[in-house]
This record gives sequence, structure tokens and C-alpha cells, in this order.
Amino acid sequence: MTTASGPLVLVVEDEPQMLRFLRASLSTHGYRLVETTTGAEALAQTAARSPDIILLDLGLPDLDGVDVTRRLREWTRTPIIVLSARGQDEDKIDVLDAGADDYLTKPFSVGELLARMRVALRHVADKAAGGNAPVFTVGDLEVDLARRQVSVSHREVHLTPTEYKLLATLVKFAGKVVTHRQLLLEVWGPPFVTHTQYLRVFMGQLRQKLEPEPAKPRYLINEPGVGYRLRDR
Amino acid sequence: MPDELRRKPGERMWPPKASAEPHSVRAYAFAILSVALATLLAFALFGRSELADIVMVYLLAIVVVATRAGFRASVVCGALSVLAFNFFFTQPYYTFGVSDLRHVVTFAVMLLVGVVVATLTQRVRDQVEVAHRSERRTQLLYAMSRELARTEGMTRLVRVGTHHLEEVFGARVALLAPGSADELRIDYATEGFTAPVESESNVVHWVLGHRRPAGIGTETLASSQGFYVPLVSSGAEADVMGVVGIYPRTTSTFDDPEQQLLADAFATQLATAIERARLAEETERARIQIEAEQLRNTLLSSVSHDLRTPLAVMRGAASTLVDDDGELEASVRRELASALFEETERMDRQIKNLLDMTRLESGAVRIQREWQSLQEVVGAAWSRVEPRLGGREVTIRVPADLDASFDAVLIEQVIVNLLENAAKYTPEGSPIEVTAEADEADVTVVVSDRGPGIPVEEQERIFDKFYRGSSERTRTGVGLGLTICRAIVAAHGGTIRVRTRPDGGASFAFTLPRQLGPVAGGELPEILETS
Repeated sequence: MTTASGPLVLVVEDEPQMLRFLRASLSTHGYRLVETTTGAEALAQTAARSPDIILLDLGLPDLDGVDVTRRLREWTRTPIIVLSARGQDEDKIDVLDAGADDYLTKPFSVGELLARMRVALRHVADKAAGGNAPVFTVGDLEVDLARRQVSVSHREVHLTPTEYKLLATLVKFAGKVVTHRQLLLEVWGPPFVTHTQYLRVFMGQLRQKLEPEPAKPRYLINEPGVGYRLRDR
Repeated sequence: MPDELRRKPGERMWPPKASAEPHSVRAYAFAILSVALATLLAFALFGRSELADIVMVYLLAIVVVATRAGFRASVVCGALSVLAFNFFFTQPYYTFGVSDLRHVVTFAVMLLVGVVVATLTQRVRDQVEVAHRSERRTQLLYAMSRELARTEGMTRLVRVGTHHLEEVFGARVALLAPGSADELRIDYATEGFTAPVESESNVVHWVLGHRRPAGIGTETLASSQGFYVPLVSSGAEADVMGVVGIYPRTTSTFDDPEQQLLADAFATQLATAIERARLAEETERARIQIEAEQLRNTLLSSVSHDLRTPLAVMRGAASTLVDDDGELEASVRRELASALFEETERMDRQIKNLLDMTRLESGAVRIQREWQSLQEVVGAAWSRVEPRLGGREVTIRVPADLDASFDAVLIEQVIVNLLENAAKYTPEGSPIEVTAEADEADVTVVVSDRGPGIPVEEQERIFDKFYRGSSERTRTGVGLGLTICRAIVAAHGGTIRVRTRPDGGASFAFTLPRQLGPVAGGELPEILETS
């Protein structure tokens, strides 16, 4: 089933069983694999093979996953999806802030993994095509980035400039988790990266305006302790 | 310390200022003045009444002085009265000569009466003083014992006891105990005070050996720097726990046996309190050990059952799939695969619970309080559980502006556990309700269902580790979900409880104290232009 033309995935994972599982599931779905078991090798292989996407295990024997991410981000924008074990919540935020695109907590299903990979790869494609599509839709929510118009069920919703910028930022990263820090940095700038509690206030306002049932959010998903994710399908 | 016993630092509280025997100039001045007044009065009477009346006037002065100014002043008053009487009112006048021998008797009687009255008054005064001191002592001891009774934990008891000693004696205090070999261990010393352990080790060892006070003011090793009392509770065969060293600012403090008695009484009380705490700690340790034992047993049986059951299913299903050489029907293969999948999910949840519990108990979890929106956290919990709720109707009523300070990850976990519990133990398709409200003190979150409810006698125990309700013996799960909830809520300073709803179903309510206002740090500016 393996096709020679599928996206190239660099898998950085030191658990043989996990590697075996990833190899089986990914190649079945048309991905080509490069396997490494250490962080140092991951850095070398990224340079040598220029993969389309990197799956990075957080618990590597040699280098810290956060360091690997930081060093990769010094020169490449290749999407990185982090695979973390439980109890590594803080590392998870650090690695996202360091530039990883998304994370999955083990154990996860192949379906989840493939979905996250698709989102990451699509973002690369979008960027290559010159930014996001002018109109973003999910469910009944429609964000027209060109005209700065937001509507729910075809009814226009009025947003303050701050709310709009927050939403536009989430749209930019739609489907991916955006950490509190990243959101604050993107929307308000460096001096405000610690004002998480006020970010919640604005997210609350957005939710009241966009969600049919704010207490059961369909679009603006809160990932406690990490950040927010705008659902993209 | 209670108000009535509070005073300026350094001021000695015991004994009370000696009003009993004023040596001051004022007392003698009062005596002289009284005699002068008596003399004036006597002049007024002189010639109109008998000499005996004049004697009475002087006696009156003596009595007044005796009651007001103490023994010495009244003796002085007596003597002065005799002299004045002699000088002014007996012949020859205005000399100290005596012509009539009978007057000598009068003088003697006057002086005698003066001394007797002074002695009697002094005795009454002494008795009052003794009563007063004993009352003060009782009061001080009571104040300490009351505070000791309210105090828990060895360190705090020692702190309370020594604090009282410091205050009452206006002294520095050290608590010494026999350490390894011949060394003395300092368990406590007044702040900034270095207890003279080495130079005073003799007297401390003497006290430890003889179970009697020693040091300054006593007959034993009186040249020491401090007064030492054994720390021993009131049982005859009780061990000496240590020695309390009291180092007063004025060395004469302990010359008064009253003071020594008081110090001894304080030490006995402190020792009794410490012993009580020790016993309580031992009982608690024993109880914990027994509980740990029981817990281990339950854990073993629980884990072996609850983890091996899904494992057995997985292994069976997987082996069938491995052995398949194309004979299995597609539907069977699918069935086996989905059994495998479901069992891993179940096992994952159980392992997660076990790990969470272990981490919570070992203190590895740090509560990261931040100001949070309740609606947001309830929403996150709902999104996470929703796929497993089997299409049940979930009503969420959480005001958008309700917030509190808590750890979002942990409280989300609590709500997830409660929702999962509701889904697990109530009939399929029955509704679940999540509400939240606040008063000044707490935010209360309630997760209610329409299941069978929880019997009253189980309402406490279902939060215990590995406990499973009578109706759920056959269900799987290690019974940790609610225990984790309780641990997390308790770590936030809140409480969790379950009640049966009057119209059927169970409702789990937990509270989070609101104590703190929104975290300071300035507001985020509104963005004026979007670029």
C-alpha cells in the first residue's frame, strides 16, 4: 500500500513497540517513514532528508524534546507533532511555546494522530499558497478574513477589534492548539504574555457571541492548562 | 495570650508590684502627717476633754497608718505619737520630761497598741497577698493550659509553653534534652538566645537525674546562670523528657520560692501536654498503619481484578486475530478489534486514575491557582466526556460571569470524573445536569443525575479509596474516581459531598472557596486597530 509519493514523516521515538505501531499505521495510510530513536539523530535526519512532518516523542534518551524543538525551529518550519506521556503537562506547554505545532497524549488512536497530521500539513500547504483561505468556515461559524466579517448561521456578529483579532489568530492556527502565551503574544504583544486571566475574559466574550450554547462549546475549545483550539471541522 | 495578661515587654508579671510593704518616703511622710494632724486635733480637744481622749486620737492615727502605709510606717507613727503626746500634752509642757510616772504607762501602752495594730494589719495584708498571688498563679497556669489544650502538634505545644514562660518570668527560655552520648540537645531556645549548654551541662544533668529543680535561687548549684526544672508529667514513673532552663533578667527572681513553684507547675503542665500529644501521635500512627495495611490488600485485589480482566479480553481477542489465516468473517474480526479497542480505553482510564491518585497522595501535584471562568472549565470537561456519554441529555447552567481561583486542569478532572460516574451508574439515556452558583464565600458546582441515588449509609464511604457501592460490586473500575475528586477539592480548601435528590437521583456538590480576588497584573488593552 505504501506509495512512493506520500508525505515523508520523521518519527523520533525510542520505544520499539510504539515505533512498530506507528510504522504499521502510517505506512498503511500512505506515509513514508524515516525512523530515529535519539534527538541528535533527529536533528541530523531533518537536515539530511527534509521530512514533511516530524513526530517527536518527548521522552528521548539523549536530548530534551523541548531542546530538539527549539533547535529545529532555528532553521526549519517543518511541522512538529509532539507525542507526550501522561504527567508531562508542563513539558507540553514548553514544547508548544518552543514552536511545536501540536501534541498528542499517549495512548492515542490512529484516527486522532492522522487528523492532527492532516491539519499540520494543510497549514504548510496554505502558507505555501499565500496564507489562509479568505473565508474560514466550521459548522455555522463563518469568518471572512478579507472583509473582516464574522457570522453565525448567516447572521452577522459584531466583534470588538480585540475580539476579532483574537478570533483571527485562532483561525490562523485553526485545528491546532494555541498556548495562552502564543495567543497573548500574537494579539497583544510581548509585554502581555503573562496576563492569562484577562485572555480568559476575552475568550469568554467570544464564546458568548459565537457559541449557540456557550457552556457546551462547539468551536472554541479550551484545553485547560495549555491553551485554546479552534475546531476546524 | 489573653488580654488581661498582656503587658509591656520586659515588665515582670510575677510577683505583682509589692504594694504590701511600701518602703517609700511617701509611707513615712504619711505617718508624720498623720501624727501632725492628730496633734492638731488633740489641741482642739485639749482642755475640754480628758487626756485619755487625746490618747485615743493618737491611737486612731496609728490604726489609719497601719492600714494604709504598712508595718514600719505604723511603728514609726506609734513612736512619733508617743513623743508628740509627751511633748505637747503632758506636764511639763513643751519638754520631753515626764513629771507623772503614770504617763510612762500611757506611753508604753500607746506604743504597744501601735505595734500590735500594725502587726495584725500586716498579717491580714499578708494573707490577702498570699491569696492574691495564688490566684494570679492559678490564672497564669490556667491561661497556659487553656492555650495548650487548643494546640496540636509537638512543635507548637513547645512554642506555646515556652512562650508563656518567657512572658511570665520576663526571661529567656531554653528546652534541653539528653541527646546522643553525653551531649545535650537544644530543642528550643528563645530567639536570639544561645543557651549555655556546655557550661551548664552539670546542673542540667543533675536535674535530669534527680527530677528536681536546681540552679539559681535553689540550694543546688545556685551559681548557675539559670533556674532549671525537669520536664516531667505528673506520673511518678513518667520519664523525664528534658529540662526547661529559665534565664531571668534579674537573678533574684528565683530567690522567691513562689517563683520556683510556679516554674515547676508550668513545666509539669507543659510536660503533660507534650505527653498527651505524643500519645495522640502514636495512636494516629498506629491507625494509619492499619489503614495502609487494609489499603494495600484492597489495592492488590482491586488492581489484580480490574486490570487483569480487560487484559484477558485483550489478549484473547488479539490472539484470535493473530492466529487468523483468513478464516474469520469480517464482522467477527471487526467485533474482536473493537473489543480490543474498548478494553484499552477502559484500562487506560483505570491506570490514569491510579497514577493520579499516587501523584496526588505523594504530594507531587502542585496546585496552580489561577483566576478561572467556571463556564470555560465546565465546558472543557463536557467536551472531553461528551463522546462517552452515549448521547445523554446534559443540561449545563453555569453563569458566564462566574469565576474563582483554582487549578483548571485539576478541577476539570473533578468534573470529568463526576460526569463519567454519572454516565456509568445511571440508566442509559437518563439526563445529567451541571449547575454552578456562588455566594460570598464559595462557588458550588453540582453534578446531578436521575439514577438510583446513593443510600445514606454509603454517602460518606463512596469517597473512600477503592470503595464501591453495594449496587456496583459487579462493575469494573478501581473505585478511585471519587477519591481523586475529594483529594483535589480538599487541596483547594473545598468540600465535596453527595445527596440523594428528593425527586430521585444523586447529586454531587463540591465547593471552592472564593477567598482571592482576581489576580493583579493590569488589564489587557483593547486593540484599536487590527492589522
